[in-house]
Amino acid sequence: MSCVLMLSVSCILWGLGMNEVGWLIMVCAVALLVVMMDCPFNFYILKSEWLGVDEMSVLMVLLCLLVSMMSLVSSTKEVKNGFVVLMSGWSVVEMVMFICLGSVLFFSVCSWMDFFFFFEFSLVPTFFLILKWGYQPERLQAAVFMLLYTVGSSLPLLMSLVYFWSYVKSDNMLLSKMVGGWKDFNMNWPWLIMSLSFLVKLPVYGAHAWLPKAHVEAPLSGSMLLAGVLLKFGGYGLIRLMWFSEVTNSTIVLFVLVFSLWGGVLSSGVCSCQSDLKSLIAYSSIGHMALSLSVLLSFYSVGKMACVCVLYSHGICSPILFSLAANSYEFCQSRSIMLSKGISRIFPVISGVWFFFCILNMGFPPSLNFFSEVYSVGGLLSLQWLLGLMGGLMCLMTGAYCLILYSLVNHGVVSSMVFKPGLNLSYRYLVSSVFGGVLLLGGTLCLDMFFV
Amino acid sequence: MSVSVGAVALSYFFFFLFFFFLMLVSGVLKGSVLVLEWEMSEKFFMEMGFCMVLDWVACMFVLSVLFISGCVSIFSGFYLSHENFLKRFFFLVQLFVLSMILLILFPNYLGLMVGWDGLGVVSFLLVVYYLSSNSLSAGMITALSNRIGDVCFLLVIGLMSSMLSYSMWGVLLMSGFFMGFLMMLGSMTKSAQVPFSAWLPEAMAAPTPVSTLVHSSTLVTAGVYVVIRFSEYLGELEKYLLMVFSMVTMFLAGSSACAEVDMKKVVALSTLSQVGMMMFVISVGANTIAFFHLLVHAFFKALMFMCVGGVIFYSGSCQDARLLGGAWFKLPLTSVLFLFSNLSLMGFPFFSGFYSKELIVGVCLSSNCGFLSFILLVVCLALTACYSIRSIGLVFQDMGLSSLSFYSMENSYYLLSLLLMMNGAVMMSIVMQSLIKEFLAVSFIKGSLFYSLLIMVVVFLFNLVLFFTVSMKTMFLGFSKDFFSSMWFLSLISGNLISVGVLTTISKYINYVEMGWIRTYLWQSGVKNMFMGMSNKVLKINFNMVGLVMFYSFCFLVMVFWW
Repeated sequence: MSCVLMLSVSCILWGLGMNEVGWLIMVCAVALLVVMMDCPFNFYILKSEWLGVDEMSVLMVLLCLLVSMMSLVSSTKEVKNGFVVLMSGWSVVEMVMFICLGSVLFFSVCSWMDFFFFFEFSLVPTFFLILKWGYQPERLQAAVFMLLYTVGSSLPLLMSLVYFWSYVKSDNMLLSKMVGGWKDFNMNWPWLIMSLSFLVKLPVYGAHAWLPKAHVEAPLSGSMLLAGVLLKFGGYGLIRLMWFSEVTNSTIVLFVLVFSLWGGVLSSGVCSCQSDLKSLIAYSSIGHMALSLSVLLSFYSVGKMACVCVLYSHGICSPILFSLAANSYEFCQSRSIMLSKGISRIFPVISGVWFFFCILNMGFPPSLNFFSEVYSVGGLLSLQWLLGLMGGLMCLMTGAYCLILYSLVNHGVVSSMVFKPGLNLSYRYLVSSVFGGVLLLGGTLCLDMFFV
Repeated sequence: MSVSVGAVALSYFFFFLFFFFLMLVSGVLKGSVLVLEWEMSEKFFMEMGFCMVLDWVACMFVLSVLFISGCVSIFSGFYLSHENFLKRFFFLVQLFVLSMILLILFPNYLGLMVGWDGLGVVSFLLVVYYLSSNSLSAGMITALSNRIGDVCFLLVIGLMSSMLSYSMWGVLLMSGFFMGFLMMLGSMTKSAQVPFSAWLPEAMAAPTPVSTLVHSSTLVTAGVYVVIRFSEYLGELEKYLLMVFSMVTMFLAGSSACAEVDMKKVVALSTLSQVGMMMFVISVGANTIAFFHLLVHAFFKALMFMCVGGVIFYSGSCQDARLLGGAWFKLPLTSVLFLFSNLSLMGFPFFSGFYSKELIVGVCLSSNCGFLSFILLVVCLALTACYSIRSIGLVFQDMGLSSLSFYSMENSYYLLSLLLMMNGAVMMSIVMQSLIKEFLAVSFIKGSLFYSLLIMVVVFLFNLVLFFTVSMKTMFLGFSKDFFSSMWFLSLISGNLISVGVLTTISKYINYVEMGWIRTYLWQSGVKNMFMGMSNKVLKINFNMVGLVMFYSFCFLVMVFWW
C-alpha cells in the first residue's frame, strides 16, 4: 500500500516538473524500511529462501542506503560534469550502486555461502573505485593492499564455512544454528582463525595498514562508502559468527578484546599527529571500530547493543567528515593540514558544520554517538575496571584529536600558500551534512530502535 | 548592532522575569518541587531517561544565570562594539547559556552530560574566539582539562548503569564503590581544582564578556553545582580528599594572585580561590552555605570582571596591570563599583560577600574539620585581603603610564550594564536571605569579643608579615616570584611538559611502529614477499614451455583424481 502511494506521489511530482524524483523515491524507500523496523531484536526471521531479517540487519540495510544516498549527493560534481571520466562505460555512480547492492544483499542473506559471496563481492567495485579515477602510483599500492589483506585473511573463513556446510549438511543461518552449529567442537582457536577475516575488515590495530592508504587514495564516494558501510561488514560478520559458532568467553576472546582496545587507544593517539586530513579521519575510524569490537567481545547483551550503535553512528558521522574534508580539498586543492586552514573566517556556515561533526565524532550528548560511547565504556567497565579505564582513556584521546581536527581546519588565517582559493563551494555537502546531523541527533529520540 | 544587542539582552531579561514570576506563583519557595521525566528507552532494566527537576536550588541558579547573561549581553555590546561578527558571538553565548541551563535543570546523569559536554565544547569555541595562536593553546588546555572531567563522568555513568538509576536520588537505591570519587574528580576538573587548575588563568585569552559570564559565574561553578546535587554520593574519604584539594587550591590561588601581573588573571585567580572555598564548605558538609556563596559570588565577581573589562578597554586593550592605573580620575562609576566588589570579596561588613563568608567561617568553626585546616582557611582569607587591596591599588593609582586620558565619556551600554549589575551585586545577599529561609544563619557561635576580633587581627598580622617579607631583597625573592607567578609551576607542567611529551612520544611511535613495523615489516617484507613471491614463481613456470605443460597437467591430475 505504501509502495503504491510512493509511486503515485513520485509520478505526480515528476509530472509537475520536479526532476529529481529519484531522490524522493530513495527517501521514501528509506522511510519504508524504518517503518519495517518493528521486527524483534532477538529473533531472526527467514523472509524467504534467500533473505532473513532481524532488527540488526534492517538497521544495517538502512545504513547502506543512507550512506549511498549521501555519497551520491556529495559527488554530484562527478555525475553532472560534462567531462565525465568513464571506465569502459561505467562511471562513479555505477560503482557506488554496485557497492550499495552488494552491501544490502550482504546484510540480508540468510545462507553462509551467499554471505561470504557478498562479503567478497563488494570488494570488486571498491577496488575499481580506488584504482581507476586517478593516476598516482600510490593508488595501485593502496588498492592492492586492501585486496590482499582482506581476501588473504578470508581464505580460512571460506575453508571453515565449506567444512561447516559439509558437516551440518545445510548452510542456512537459522537452520544450522537450530541444529546445533559448532557445539561439538572446542571453538577457541577455530573461532580466532575464522574471525581473522572480519578482524582485518573492521580493522583491528595490527592489521589496519590498508585502511589509511585506501581512504587517502579513494575518491570521495569511495571513502564515504568504505568508512560508512564496508567497515561494518566486519562488525556484522563478527556478531553473526559469535552467534553460530558456540564460542565462549575464554582467554582467546579476552586476548582479542584487550588487543583491539589497546590498539584503539594507540590509533587515537596516532590521529593527533597526522598531517593529512583524510588519514586523520581514517585513523579515527580505527579507534571507533576498536571500541565497538572490544565491547562486543565482553559477551554482555549491552555489549552487542552498544557495538551496533557504534557501528551505526560511526557509519553516519564518518562519511560526513570525509565529505567536509573533500570540501576543504576543493577550496585549496590539497589535503595537507598546512594549507587547508582558517576557513572559519571565510566560510562560517561550513565552519559551524565542521564543529558540529567534530564534536559529534567525540561523542557529544544527546546524540547517538554519545549513547554508543557511554554504553561501550560502561560495558567494558562492568567486565573489568581496568578495561573501563582504558575505554575512558580512549574517549579522552578521541576528544583530543577531534578538537585538534577542528582547530586545524578552522583556526587562524587562511594559509598564504594557497594561490587560487576556490571560493565557490557548493551546498551539496551541507545538504548531506544536515541530513546526517538530523539522523544522529534524532536517533536519541528513538533509542530503542538503535539499541538492537 | 544595537538592535541585536538589545534583542538578545531583552530576551534574557524577559526569560528572567518570566521564570521569577513562575517561581513565585508555583510555590517553589515554600518547598514544592516539579519533576518531569522523559523515558527514552525500555531496553534496559533501569530507568533510562531525562529527568528534569525544578526545585528552589535550580530556580535560584537559573535566575542568576539569566540575569548575569542579560547584563553580559549589554556589556558585550560595549566591549565588542568594533567587532564584525557580533551575531556569531551572541550565538555562541546563547548556546553556552542554554548548556548551563540544561545542566542546572537536569540533575540526572544522562541529561547532565548534555549540559556538561556542551559547556566544555562551547567554552572552547568562546576561548578561541580571537583566532590567534595564544588563544588556541588556551582553548586546547581548557577543552582537554574539561575532557578529563567528561571521561570521569562517562565512567560514573558506566558504574551507575549497574546501580539502577542515573539521578541524584539513586543513592537511596544502590550505591557503588567508586562513584563518589569519580564524580568528585570530574567536578574538580571543571571547577579547576588542583591538579587541574592550569586552564583557568590561561582561559583569560577569551574576550572579557566571555570571562565575565563563563569564568566567573557559570563554567567553574558547574562543578560545584554537580557536587552539591550529588553530594549524597560522597563518603568520608571523598570528603577528606575534597577538603585537602580545595585547601591547596585556595592557597595556590591566593598566593599566585599576589604575584600575578595580568589584571584578568588576578581576577581569575580570585575566582579560583573562592571556588576552592565553596568546595571546602561542601567537604565540611554544609551544602546550602556553599550554594549561597556560589550565587552571591557569581554576582560580585561578574561585576568585578565588568569593571576590569572597562578599565582594560579604556586603556587600549592593555591587560598588563603594570601599565594600568588612574581609573579613579577618569572612570568614577567603574572605580566605585570595583571598590565595592573587592570589599565584598574580602568580606567587608554588610556587603554581599560578608553574609556568605560569615556563614562559611561559622560552619568551619563549628564542624570537625581540624585545627590545621582552620588555620589554613584563615590564611587564605588573609591572602584574599592581600590581593584585593593590591588589585585596588593597581587599578586606582595613577602611574602616568596609561592612555586612559584619551576617552572623554563612558559608553552608555557599559553604564547600563554596570548599573544593572550593581544592584545585583551589592544587595544580593540580603535579597536572597529574605527570599529563601535556608540561607539564614544555620549555626550558633559563641559571640564573645575574642572570636569576632580574632579573624580580623590574624588577617591584619598576616598581611603585615607578608609586607615585610616582600620588601626585603633576598635571593629567595627571585625564586618565589617565579614560583608564585606560574602558579607553583602548575601551568608549565600541565601545559608545556605534558603536551610536548605526549606529542613527541606519539611522533616517535608513528615513526617506529606505524611506518616501521606495521607498514614496512608486515607488509613490504612479510606479506608482500609471501604473495608476490608465490605469484612470481607461478608466472615463471608458465613462461617456460616444459614448465607450462607440467603445471597444467599437474592441475588436471589433481582435479580429476582427487574429486
